[in-house]
Amino acid sequence: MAEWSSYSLHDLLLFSPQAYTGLFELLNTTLWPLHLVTLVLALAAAVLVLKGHRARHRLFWAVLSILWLWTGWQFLHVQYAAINWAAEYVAPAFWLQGLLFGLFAVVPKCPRISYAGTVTDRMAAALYVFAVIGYPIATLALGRSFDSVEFLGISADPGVVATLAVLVLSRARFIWLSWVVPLAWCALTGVTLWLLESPEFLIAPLAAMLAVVAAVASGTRPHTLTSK
Amino acid sequence: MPINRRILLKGSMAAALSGAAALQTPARAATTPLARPIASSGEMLPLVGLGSWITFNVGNNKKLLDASSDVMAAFFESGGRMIDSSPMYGSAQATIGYGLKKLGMPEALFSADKVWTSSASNGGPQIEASRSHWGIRNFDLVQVHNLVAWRAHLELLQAMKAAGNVRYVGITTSHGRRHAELEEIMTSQPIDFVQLTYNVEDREAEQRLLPLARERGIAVIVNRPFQRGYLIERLSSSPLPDWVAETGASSWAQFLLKFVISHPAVTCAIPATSQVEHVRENMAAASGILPDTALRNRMADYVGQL
Repeated sequence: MAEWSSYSLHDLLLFSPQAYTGLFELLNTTLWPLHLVTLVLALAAAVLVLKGHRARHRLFWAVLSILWLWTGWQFLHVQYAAINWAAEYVAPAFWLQGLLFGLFAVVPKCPRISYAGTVTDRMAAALYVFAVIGYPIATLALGRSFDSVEFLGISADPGVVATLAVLVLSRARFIWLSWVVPLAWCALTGVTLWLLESPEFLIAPLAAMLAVVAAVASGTRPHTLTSK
Repeated sequence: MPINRRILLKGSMAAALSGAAALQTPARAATTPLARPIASSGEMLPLVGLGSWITFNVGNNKKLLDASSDVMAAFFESGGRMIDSSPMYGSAQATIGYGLKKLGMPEALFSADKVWTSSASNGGPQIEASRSHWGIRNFDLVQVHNLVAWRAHLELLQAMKAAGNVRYVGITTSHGRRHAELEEIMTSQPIDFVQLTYNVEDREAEQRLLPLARERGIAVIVNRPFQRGYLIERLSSSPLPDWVAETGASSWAQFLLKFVISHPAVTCAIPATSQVEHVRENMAAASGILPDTALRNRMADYVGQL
C-alpha cells in the first residue's frame, strides 16, 4: 500500500486499550496453569547457570528456543494477529529467533552462558528476575487488572526481556545476531503501548537499554569468553 | 439483504427518483431516525450509521464481543441500519458477524464493507472472506477502500452488481487524502456511494466533492465525524452553546453529528463507538431539527473560536 506514508502512527493503531488488555485476559484464562510451568522452567534454568552446571548452555538455549517458537505461535499468530494483522508478519521473526536458539542448543561449539557475579552480570540477573517475577507486578502496579497482567511464556514482552538478560551473559562470535529481533520487539511494543497511552510503554525499551549497556560494558572484559 | 426489506422501502423510491433530497422518516421502525434516500435507488437510509474502525476490533475476547453485540443491539433498537467495516479493521468483521448472529440477523441491516488489496485478483476472494465473516448472503454495499487498485476493483464490483451479488458500489477515502483523484472517479465512474472524511473542522469536501455528489446522484457516507474522538475530547472542556438546543442537540457528539448530517449531500455518517449509551446518543442526533445553513455556519464559527 503505497499511501501508508500519509498515515500518522496513531492512524495505524488498529485496536483500543481495552482490546489490547482483553488479549492478555484471554491468554491468561486460556493458558492457565501454564504460567506455573514457565515459572518453574525459568527458575530451574537460572539455577543451572548459577551452579555452573555443564549442561546449562544447551538446556538454556533449548528452553529459549521453545519459548520463542511458542510465543510466536500462541501469542502473535493465534491471539495478537486477531486484533493486529501486522502481528502475522512479526510471528515469523519470532520463529526464526526460536530456530536460531535451537541451533545454538545443538551446534558443537554451543554459545556459552556464564554468571561470574560481576556488575554487568548482576545487571543481567536483575533483568532476568524482573522478567520472570517483576513484569507481572509492574504491569499490575501500572494499572492492569490482575487477570490481564503479563507473564513469561504467556505474552511476548517478559520473555523478550528475559532473553536479553541471557544474551548479556552469553558470548559467541555471532551472538549479536540474536539481539536484533528482541531489540526490535522492545521498540515495537514500546511504541504500541505509547500509542495506547499506557504508562507501561517504557518498560521494555528501558529493559532493552539496560541490557545493551550491560552487554557493551561486559564486552570489555574477557572472562566470560572462557566459561566454566 | 432480503428482498422483502427492499420491497418495504420501495414506497420511498418515487420521491427520491423525482430528485427530492428532502428528509423523510421511514415508518417501519419503533424509533424513526431522520433518513435520506440513496440517490441511485431511492432506498431510505437513516442519517446515522455505525462504523467499526478500532471499536469492534476485539479479537476473540468473549466479554468484548458481547459488549460489541450490545452496541449493535442498541443501534438497531434506535432505528439504525448501516454498519460499515473493512478487511483492514482487524477482527471487526468477525465481531459484526458474531453480533448479527446473536441478534438473529436483523432485517434492518444495511451491510457496507470494502475491498482492500493492491492485488486485483485478490479482490474477489477477499470480498468472499468478508462476507463469510459477516455471515450474510450478500453485501448491500461494497466499496473500494482508500482508492487502492480502484480501477480493477470497480470493474469487479460492477460485475458483481450486474450479477446481483451486491446492491451498491462505492469508493472511499479518509483524512482528506487524494480528493482530486476521487473527484475524477466520481465524475467518470457509475458509482452509487462515496465515503469521505467530513466534520466541523475538516471541511474541504464542501468545496467540490459534496456538490459533485449531489450533481451526480452519488450517496455520501461520512467517516471520522468526531476525528476519531479527538474533537469531542477537545471540545468537552468548553460549554455547549445554548443556541444549539433548538436543534435538540444536548451533547457535543450530537452537535458534531448534526453539523455533518445537516449537509444536504450527506446520506449517512458512521461514528464508531464501543459504548451503548454513545450509540444511543449518536442515533438521537438523527432526530429533531437539523441546522440550516446559517446555523451550520454559526456552529463552525463557534468551534473555530474554541
